[in-house]
Parts: sequence; structure tokens; C-alpha cells
Amino acid sequence: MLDKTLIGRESETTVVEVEKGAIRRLADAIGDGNPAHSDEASARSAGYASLVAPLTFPAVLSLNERFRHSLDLGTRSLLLGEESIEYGRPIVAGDQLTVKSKVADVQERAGTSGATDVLILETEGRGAEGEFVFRTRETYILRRG
Amino acid sequence: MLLARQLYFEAVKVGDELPPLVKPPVDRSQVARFAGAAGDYGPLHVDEPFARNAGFPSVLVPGMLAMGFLGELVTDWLRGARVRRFGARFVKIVWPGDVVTVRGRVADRRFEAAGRYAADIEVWGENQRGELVVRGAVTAQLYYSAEDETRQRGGQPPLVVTPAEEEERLAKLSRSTAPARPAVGTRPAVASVKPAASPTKGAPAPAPRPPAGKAPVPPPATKAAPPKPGAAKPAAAKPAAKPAPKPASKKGAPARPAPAKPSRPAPKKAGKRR
Repeated sequence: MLDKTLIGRESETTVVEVEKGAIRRLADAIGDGNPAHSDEASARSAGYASLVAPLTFPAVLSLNERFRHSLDLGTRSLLLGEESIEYGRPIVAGDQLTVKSKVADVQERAGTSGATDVLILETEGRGAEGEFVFRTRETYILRRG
Repeated sequence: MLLARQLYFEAVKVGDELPPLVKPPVDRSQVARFAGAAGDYGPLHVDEPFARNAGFPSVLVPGMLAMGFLGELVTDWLRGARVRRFGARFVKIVWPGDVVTVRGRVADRRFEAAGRYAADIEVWGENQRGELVVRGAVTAQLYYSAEDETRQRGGQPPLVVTPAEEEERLAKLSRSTAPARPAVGTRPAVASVKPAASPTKGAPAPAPRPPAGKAPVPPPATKAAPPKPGAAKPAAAKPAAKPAPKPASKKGAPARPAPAKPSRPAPKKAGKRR
């Protein structure tokens, strides 16, 4: 069983500058050919200030390797079971986002091969004016081994 | 202009299907590229010996890549409309070599507080065996019409349309244009009921319908049962569930000719994809 006292633990706050290259690379890896992810002119004519990020980009911003390590999960690997994203507005290249994660919950669920530990992380991103930009919630299944 | 390219609330109907998107087989280099782009080098996804040691036949394709496919599907269809929520549950592992087809349909459309219009879209992905691998839900906010968009972009308050007003307008429209199904030609040939089926031949057509209702966030994990076809659309008993009266198909004409299942064949025109 995972340590329940992890609940509420927070990461340090990081400031991320959303780069065009990061947006292009994610769209490219998905195979998402929407030109608003890769071409400045297309993005502008669609009404965005610059390249607009794919919908799953907040999940990328939420990944905080150092925070995960700090949770001391040992050698167990994390398998993503669910992802949920709320958006305050679209994310575009040039955004300066302030991002912070926390452990929202630790659960034990009955699985086919015994009980499984579940770790739920939440991350919030805010813009330069402090405005809400996104919130993600990831449900990870911990695999033994 | 971009105005004409938007998807507007007035054009969205419950049951509308998104044109399916068949992604090329996911190979290991795509997995590697995705790991790099996402900055997530979880060993189950990039380290084959590690994955085998953990009891898997090979590395696993990250769930977020499949969710990315769903995002692409929805973004294409919404043509710029704002997404407010997007949730997905990873039902079955995607393996290198799998061909994932993503689909979606409009589960609900809502008139919210004055001048806000939202659509709930259920989305899901299947592998080449027709098995459900991911399912999710998207809530999008749309302009009611081109007029609404023009107003709001010009800094004016949104156009407020009530369901009753909309119904009235549609009724008027159908009276003036259409005593009896004039528009047979506007539908793709009835014979093409198949396009909605999965690429596999034998695959049972009943594309798993993610349960509607259940709002944006997919139901909690616990049991990995795929959506039961029967249990689908429970909460759809909500007011908005009665499809906005379409000009021709509601009363006047005898029951629709096409079988009710694939509510309508995905429109070909949007099929810019293979």
C-alpha cells in the first residue's frame, strides 16, 4: 500500500515558456497535421496569437519528473489509467505558464491480480496574469516490479 | 474567411458522428518520438527488455498518444471551437503495430447561461481487432452562429437564443422548404451505411458506444468493462436529448429509411484522411 501521507504533497512551482518547437514536436509525434500547430500564418488566420498547442499539451506540461521521483515510489512503474484536462483558454506559443502539481489522492483498488495502488496527481497551470489556463488530473496505476 | 470555417452550435445535432480517423500503424519510432515530445521516458514505453521483464510482450504505446489521436479527431471537427474539458480512460493497451481508429459522436448539446452553448462529444478509439482501447469525453463551447461569432469578436455581448426560439425557427424552415423529405439528395447514398464500421471485416459492427450521460470525465476505472451497448445513453433523458427537429426528418416523412444505428453515415466530404 502506498503511503497515504503523500496526499497533499506539492511540487515546487515551475515557470514554463511554451515554445513553438515543443508544440510542433508533439503534433508531429501524434501525426496531427492541423496547420495551426505548425504554421504561424495558419494559426493566426484561425484566430490564435501564435502556434496553438494540441489538446493534450497540458499533460506534457504536467509531467514533473523530479516531483515524481520525490514521491519515492521505488522501482514500481507507473501506468496511466485516466487523464482529464480542463481548459481555461487555448495554450499558444509564447505563453509563460506557472505550473504546480500535487498528489490529489492515493488509493487501493481491487484488481484481477490482487490489490493495486493508484496514485492521482493534479496539476494546475496559470498564465502571466495569474489567469487559469489548465488543470490536469492523472490516475496512475502502480505496477509492482 | 475564417468565419465560415467555424463549426456553429446551430449546425450541431445530438447523434452527429465525427468522420472517423484511421491512424497509421503505431510503430516504435513513433513511440520514441512521442516520448521525446512529451518528455516522458517511462521505461515501459521505451525499454523493451524492461517491459518484457515486467511481463509484457513488448513495450506499450503510451496512452497519451492514443488520447492525442482523440484530440486530433475533435480539433479537426470543431474547427476552432473552444474545448473546455477533455477526459480519457485507457481501457486496453495499445501495442506497437496496432492500427487505431478514432471515432466520436455528439452526446448532448446544451443551452447554458445566457449566450453560452456547449456540446458534449463522446470519443473512443479501437484497434484493428475492433477492441475498444480508449474512450473519452469532450465538452466544447461553440458560437451559436456566424452572427454570434461576429458579435463576440467585435466585443459585443453574445447572441442569446433559447431552445424554444431555435425550435420555432427550425419549424418555420421546414414548413417553407420541405413538405416531404426534399433533401434525399443531401444525404450520402443510403447504401453506404458501412463507412462507420471498423476497418476489420469481421469485426462486430457494434462500435462500442461509450456511455453517454456521465458528463465530461470518464467514469472511474475500477472495472475495465467496455461500455455495454445497452447501458449506453442513460442520462440522455435530459431535455436536450430530443434531437433538434431537423427540417425534413421528424414528422412529415415516414420513419427514416436508414436503420437507426449509425445515425447517419459519416459525411464523406470531411474525409480529408485516408
